[in-house]
Amino acid sequence: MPSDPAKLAKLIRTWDDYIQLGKKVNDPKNQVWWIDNARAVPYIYYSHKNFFDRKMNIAVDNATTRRVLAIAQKLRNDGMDAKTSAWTDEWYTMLNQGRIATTISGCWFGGFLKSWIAKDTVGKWGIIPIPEQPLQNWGGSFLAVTKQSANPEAAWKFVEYLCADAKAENTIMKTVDYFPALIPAWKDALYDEPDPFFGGQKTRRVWADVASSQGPFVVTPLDSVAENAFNIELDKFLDQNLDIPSTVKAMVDAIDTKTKADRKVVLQLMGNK
Amino acid sequence: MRRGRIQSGRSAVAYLYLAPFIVLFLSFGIFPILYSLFLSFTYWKGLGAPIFVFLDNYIATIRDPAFFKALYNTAYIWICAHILILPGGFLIAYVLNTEYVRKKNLHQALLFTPMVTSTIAVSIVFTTLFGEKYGMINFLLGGLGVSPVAWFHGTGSMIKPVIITLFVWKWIGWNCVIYFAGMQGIDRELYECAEVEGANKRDILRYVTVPLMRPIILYTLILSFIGGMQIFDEAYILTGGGQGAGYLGGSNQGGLTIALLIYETGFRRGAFGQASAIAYFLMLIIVVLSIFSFRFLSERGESARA
Repeated sequence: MPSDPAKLAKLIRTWDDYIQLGKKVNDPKNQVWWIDNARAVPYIYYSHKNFFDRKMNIAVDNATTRRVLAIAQKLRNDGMDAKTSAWTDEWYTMLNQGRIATTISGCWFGGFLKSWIAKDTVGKWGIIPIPEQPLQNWGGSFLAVTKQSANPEAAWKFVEYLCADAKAENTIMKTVDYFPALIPAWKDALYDEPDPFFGGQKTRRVWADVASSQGPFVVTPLDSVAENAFNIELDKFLDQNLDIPSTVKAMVDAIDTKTKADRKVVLQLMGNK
Repeated sequence: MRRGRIQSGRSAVAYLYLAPFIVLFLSFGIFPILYSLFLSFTYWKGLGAPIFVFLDNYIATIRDPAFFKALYNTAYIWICAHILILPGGFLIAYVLNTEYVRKKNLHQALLFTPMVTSTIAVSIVFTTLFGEKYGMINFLLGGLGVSPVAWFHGTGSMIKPVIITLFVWKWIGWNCVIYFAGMQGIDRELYECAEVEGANKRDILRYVTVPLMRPIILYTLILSFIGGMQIFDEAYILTGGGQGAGYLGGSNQGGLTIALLIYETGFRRGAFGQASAIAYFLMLIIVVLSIFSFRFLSERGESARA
């Protein structure tokens, strides 16, 4: 497997390529796995987004879902994932010891690795965009000024500074790898600097290129509840090797049960705007 | 008889002493319980005014498979744990009470030690102990030739045994100490009388010790029933507190107890009305079960006397 990220990205143009390459690297006997948990593949498509359409109908039953579930099932059944849960001590240990070849995450994960998860693994990491639909979103921080604010002008000035000022955004990016949503910020020279933690790769430019690509999301206030329901069924699917059609149906039913009352309210709120 | 002035003055002072407790109890005990009942008939996310929705929350509770899973899990954990804790604690107390064991106080202290540990700290230790790849338990099992057990993953069916193990480890000492104290209170003369009459150790246990311990056994049974219904700490920490996966209860929600479900509905989903409905539904179930068991017990009691 080439260690140059650009060459690697060319080799992994589809999820099938990803699996093929992984078979060569995966080595469970020596405690090395291709990916930390197969659930990461479907998850990144549905991390608090895309559960509903703009009319608050559940939008999980589609070809993309079926494809990524199939990929995840193949990874799991071929023994290519370490079945480890993210954010546990076991996961941190495995990341530190290089037992996980790839993990899917957001730009902010670089900051986490550098500061508290694996600060001694400098130079051992690189990044490539995920295949097929590189533009995804996981997380994000948001600021809002509430109606009760005693000083809304000052509050807004602060929001502008923290979210709409390229210099402030890039300082944050440089310090903790939180990627700015502000498009003009990406023109800065910072994005063409090599990052020593990633072996000198110009990772910030990779992120900026991915962020500039196409890909619409639908986000709603009910995404976190829907995500929980989705995750429960996803884990059951992988852990018990269930079939895809019944899993997709179970996901739709679970999301429906947990968000039924709230969807009506959200639709009303959206209608009143 | 008219109360004297001194006595009513003393009554007033007495009430004054009680007042702080009564105020606190009314505000933080009674009020939330009653407000929760009100909330269970509303749709409320914590902000704004609650909207009246009649029985929608209760219907949604019946329609939610997670509710029945949580009931099943809670009952399973409670029954298994207490089959071990109550008779087990009784047996240990009985052995402690015999003349064969010296340094009774030391043994009592040792048995009670798990009670004074922090549940959260111990749960974290148990998570590491039962880790699938690097845990001590799987390491020991490997030494015995058993393949590593997926304690927290797979079908999620092994999560309950881990919770039960933690629960038993913590609480067996408590019941043991209570039973021991009860047994110590039994007059030695009764045992001597029984021996003179020709009873052996098993007869003494069955016809002297257990009947005399009946009120204490009932007490521990009731306390453990209430505690068992409310299991939260162990299940929460052992299933990662909803980290990573985001949902509580672990794989296939195998460790989802009723208390966890109420917490998740109320504080994670923000559906306070729904969470209140689940809590009151549970109360309904407990009340119905209690009525049945009282009727059953009192019938048996009456027929025994007849």
